Amino acid sequence: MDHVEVRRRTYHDSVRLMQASAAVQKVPGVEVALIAMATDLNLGLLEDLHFDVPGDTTPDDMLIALRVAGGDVVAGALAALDAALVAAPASDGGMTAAPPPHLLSSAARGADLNLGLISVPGPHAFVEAADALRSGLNVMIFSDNVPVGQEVALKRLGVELDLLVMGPDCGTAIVGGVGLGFANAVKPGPVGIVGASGTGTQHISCLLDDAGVGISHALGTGSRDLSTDVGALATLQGLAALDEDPATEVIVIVSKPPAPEIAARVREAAAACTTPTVMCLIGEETLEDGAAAALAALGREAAPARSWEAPDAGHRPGTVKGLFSGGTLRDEARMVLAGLMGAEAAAGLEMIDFGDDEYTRGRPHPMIDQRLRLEHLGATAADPSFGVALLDVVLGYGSHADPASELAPVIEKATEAGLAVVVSLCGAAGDPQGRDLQAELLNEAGAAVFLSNAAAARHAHALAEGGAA
Amino acid sequence: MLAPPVMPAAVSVALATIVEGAPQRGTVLGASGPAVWVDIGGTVLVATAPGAVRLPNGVAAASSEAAAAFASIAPDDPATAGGGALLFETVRLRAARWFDPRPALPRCSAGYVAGRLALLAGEVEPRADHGLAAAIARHDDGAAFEAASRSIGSGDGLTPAGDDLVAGTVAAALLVARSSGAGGIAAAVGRLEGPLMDHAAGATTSFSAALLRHAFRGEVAEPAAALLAALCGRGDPVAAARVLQAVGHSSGPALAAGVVAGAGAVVERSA
Amino acid sequence: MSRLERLLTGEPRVATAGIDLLAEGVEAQGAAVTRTEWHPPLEGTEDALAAITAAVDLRAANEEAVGRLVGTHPHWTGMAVAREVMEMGERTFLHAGPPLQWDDCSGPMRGALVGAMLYEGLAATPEEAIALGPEIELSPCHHHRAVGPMAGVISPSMPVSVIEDAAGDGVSYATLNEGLGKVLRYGAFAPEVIERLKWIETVLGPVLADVLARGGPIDLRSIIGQALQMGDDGHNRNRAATSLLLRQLAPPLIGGEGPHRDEVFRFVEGNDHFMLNLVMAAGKIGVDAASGVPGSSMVTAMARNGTEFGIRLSGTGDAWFTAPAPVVDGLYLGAFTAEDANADIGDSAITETVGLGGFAMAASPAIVGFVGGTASGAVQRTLAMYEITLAEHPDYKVPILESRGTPTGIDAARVVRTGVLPVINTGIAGKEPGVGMVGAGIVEAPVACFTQAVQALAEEVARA
Repeated sequence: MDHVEVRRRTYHDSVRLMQASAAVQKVPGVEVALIAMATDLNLGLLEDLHFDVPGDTTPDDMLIALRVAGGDVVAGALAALDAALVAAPASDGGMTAAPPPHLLSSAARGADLNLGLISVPGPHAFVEAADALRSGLNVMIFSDNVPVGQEVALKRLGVELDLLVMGPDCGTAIVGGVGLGFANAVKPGPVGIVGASGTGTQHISCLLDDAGVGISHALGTGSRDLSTDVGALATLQGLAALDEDPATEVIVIVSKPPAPEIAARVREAAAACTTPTVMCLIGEETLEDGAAAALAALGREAAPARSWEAPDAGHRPGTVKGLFSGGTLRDEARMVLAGLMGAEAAAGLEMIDFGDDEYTRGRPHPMIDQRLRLEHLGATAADPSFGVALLDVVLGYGSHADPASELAPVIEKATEAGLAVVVSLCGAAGDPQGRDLQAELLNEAGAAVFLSNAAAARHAHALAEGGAA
Repeated sequence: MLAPPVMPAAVSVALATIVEGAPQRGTVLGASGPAVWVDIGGTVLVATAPGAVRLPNGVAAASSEAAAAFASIAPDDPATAGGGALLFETVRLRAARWFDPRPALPRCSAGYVAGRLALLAGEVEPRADHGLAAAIARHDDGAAFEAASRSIGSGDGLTPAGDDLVAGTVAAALLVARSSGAGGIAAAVGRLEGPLMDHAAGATTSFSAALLRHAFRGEVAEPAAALLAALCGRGDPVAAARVLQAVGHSSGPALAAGVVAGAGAVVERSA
Repeated sequence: MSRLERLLTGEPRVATAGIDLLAEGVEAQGAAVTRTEWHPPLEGTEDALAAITAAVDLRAANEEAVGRLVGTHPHWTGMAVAREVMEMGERTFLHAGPPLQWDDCSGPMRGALVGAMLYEGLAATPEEAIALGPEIELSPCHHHRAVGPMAGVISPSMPVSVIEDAAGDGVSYATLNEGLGKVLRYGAFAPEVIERLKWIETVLGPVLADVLARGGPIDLRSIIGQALQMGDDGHNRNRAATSLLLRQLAPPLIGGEGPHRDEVFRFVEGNDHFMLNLVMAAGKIGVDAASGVPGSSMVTAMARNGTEFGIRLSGTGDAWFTAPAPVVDGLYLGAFTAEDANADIGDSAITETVGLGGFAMAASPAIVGFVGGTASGAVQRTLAMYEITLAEHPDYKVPILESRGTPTGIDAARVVRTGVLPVINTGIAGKEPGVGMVGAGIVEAPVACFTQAVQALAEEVARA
């Protein structure tokens, strides 16, 4: 007979549940025991074992499923389970365990830490970051809405203390192989990146990953670092640090084009480096060009990045519409299109950045929550004036766990309606979402998928022009 | 019965082809505390829980639950590597990121390394190496093989101290020679690899032989990498030597002695 | 290796403040991460904190202040008469806490002042004393290098202990503890109270002066450090410290000439709180040494006058930041209830200010039942105080925390940033004069003191 029980809002870690399952299995008369949290995976397991699957569970509930020789076994099995669950509770360090720290400077006391990752609301970031710096931590400030004067003060303090201030508004960094914020699972390698643009950094690191070249470190600087106000303080510091870093053989600086005097200062510093340095100014050149220049500096030739092209199902005529989750790739796509169709025509295209404040107020970032973008894609499919939808999908740590599964059905409908869909897929082979799996899902749904954003834009243009890509 | 828990792990890039390749079955060779070592198609991989030293063939889990999951793994249990993971019956280690076990050393002169080595006098106790370092320095292949093969397998445990000494020597000689631009050493070490690995196959544990093979590629345990970096100017050599010598029972001191001897061979060659 | 080089060598060791998603992202990569429980700062302090952070190196200023605090080595060197060592006129009465007007005095404070007027002979009856009340000069002990428990009243004729800093030139004063029962510090002014004060003036003071002259000075820091190893918290429990003190007083006391030596021995032996006033004065030397560091947000006084709770900061000089004194939520003796309790009173929170009392509660499981708590709760209280303090005391150590130094030097900036308030172990005075102690408990310093103090510091650094 079967006994299935749900214990509401009861949590035990998986190892403990495994140990408990093992204990229950040993009770004579127990044929099958599944003790697990009611996750979809475990509910599926339950179904596979032909148990009646209880409805209305959440992953916070604990499932107990027993197949026993007779009803009299159940009580003993449950007793064994309860004993196993209370036995040797996970140690909390006892009564002398310290409570969790509230401040980074408290966390740093007596602990061997070297980086504070700050995402507190912008108005509070300055105090937290300055305190962390004075406690000897480098900082990455994910927060935005930090006044520029505070940014300058923090970066000057960083220079004074020989500590790096990444940010504010720094979304991406890779330090010593660990991605911080939005970052891709790229391998260690010879290229160091100093990036004022998080997405730009991600994209270049993924293009290099596709070429089999890894990253030593990717240091974020925050979007305003190359402004006249900030004067590239973090960029120059990061550049010098990477120049000293023995693992870094080529340095790439990724930024939107800065003010001329700042650009000159950075170029001067780059020229003084003993490590070859490549500047990739998004808007003047493509990220693809930046990655190619880095490869050239390593003595390697760049091949076109991987793509998954869709069979031309005979899409309808119409213009390109851009549906991007970030400004960097959107702007780059527009630049590529301007090069192909003229600046004026490209400026007339509707190219939305769903990461803009206008769209993120009161909702998560589109790299995490795609609903609004999906709605717009549906609407684009329904509007016959558009022939091609061009969108980006960013994978890696911090991003949506499975964006393709949500996009694929909408893409399928859109392509059936005659809209061509082109996806710029920013991802590394080792990303937790499974880059190739994501690409294949999108491709099977009818989208052409490109690892290079510029290539995706070129393809979108070619489709809109009615020619082959 | 229950899907094993998935834990993220940092994986050595030296294992990339195996861990990222098509799944291959293998066998658990041994397990001890925070480490489980497995043979997958002739390559030895080591899964470690937090607190263990990061090894050149390491799959390092950071989860505090890893040690408990490893506790139930026994020799001869099945294991599978591939598809971005290392799987045991009780735990699945997903390659979440990668580390390079070969330290990137700053460029520096042999004279500079000599000065740094002088700081370690009295800190790292030299070990009798049967003339291995000296033989490498004078490119005497026969004497190098003779010396190294006498060391291999001498000592107790999973990685006999003699093996650690040789591993430290060859890795340091290779890496410091590259960093200081000393010619000939890498080739001499390269010529030693084939015969010595053939010899090691019968003379020591497969786990230790695997680490030796990595050493011939300049791939070393993390604290040894730190000592090598410090010898070339990045970090404090005395502090790094102390950390390395605190590793394991006999491994750390033997590895440190090997690193010092190997770096010394480069200095001698360049003198 | 430079600090930045270290970041790029090996794996980053990350702590996070803010959204959990970022910590999860690091963990998902099999890397360790330390999470903080970050909260926004207390309301109204955000701009002040930013202004202070921008204007000064707060960490350096506070390190200077706390360094001075823990660098003092208080010794009990002798006895003096209050009027001879402190600036006070015939009608000056010192009291606990921040400045106070006669009309605002609570019951125990008024009772103590009445008793002191009777003791000084300024009034013959309590009624006369009350009538005289508005005419006397009231001044906080803290303004005179002194501290006093409960009402803390010091009148000109009282003998005071003289504490001197062996490591500097600091000096502080405190009255001799009268014991429990009907005592002036709880506002009692009955004839036996005045008689005991006279005995202290004529017998206890002079005998101790003689004892110290022959057997002193007595190293208070050493005694306090040892007493923490023996279950004292230095505020509500001073049994071990008093015993240790008596061991040092005994040989010169026994070996001396003259009468009353047995009385003095029995008086000290019979009063577990005898050491409290000396612990407080030892603390006063520390906070006075630490005051006046520009930009420092370290608290140099926490004191209550029975009506208001006040704090001072090192970087804001003599200014007090006050709020109504809270009523202590505690355990009551016998039939007393919270109805009988006066608002929090006394300078004894100087002990918490220097890392003792509630901050050292983990060292004092014996006090736990008295103030209404559990042993594990006491340990957790001490641990929580590390978050808002600047240093661990080098000599005051907590055995159960592997002899970690007590959390010392309260940082008002950290208080407003975390919302963690200093905890104080305290006795509760009855609100009727002379009732004495009605209970004991734990009280948190009022939030408003800290928000005002941080705002004032921001103004101060902007001026500088």
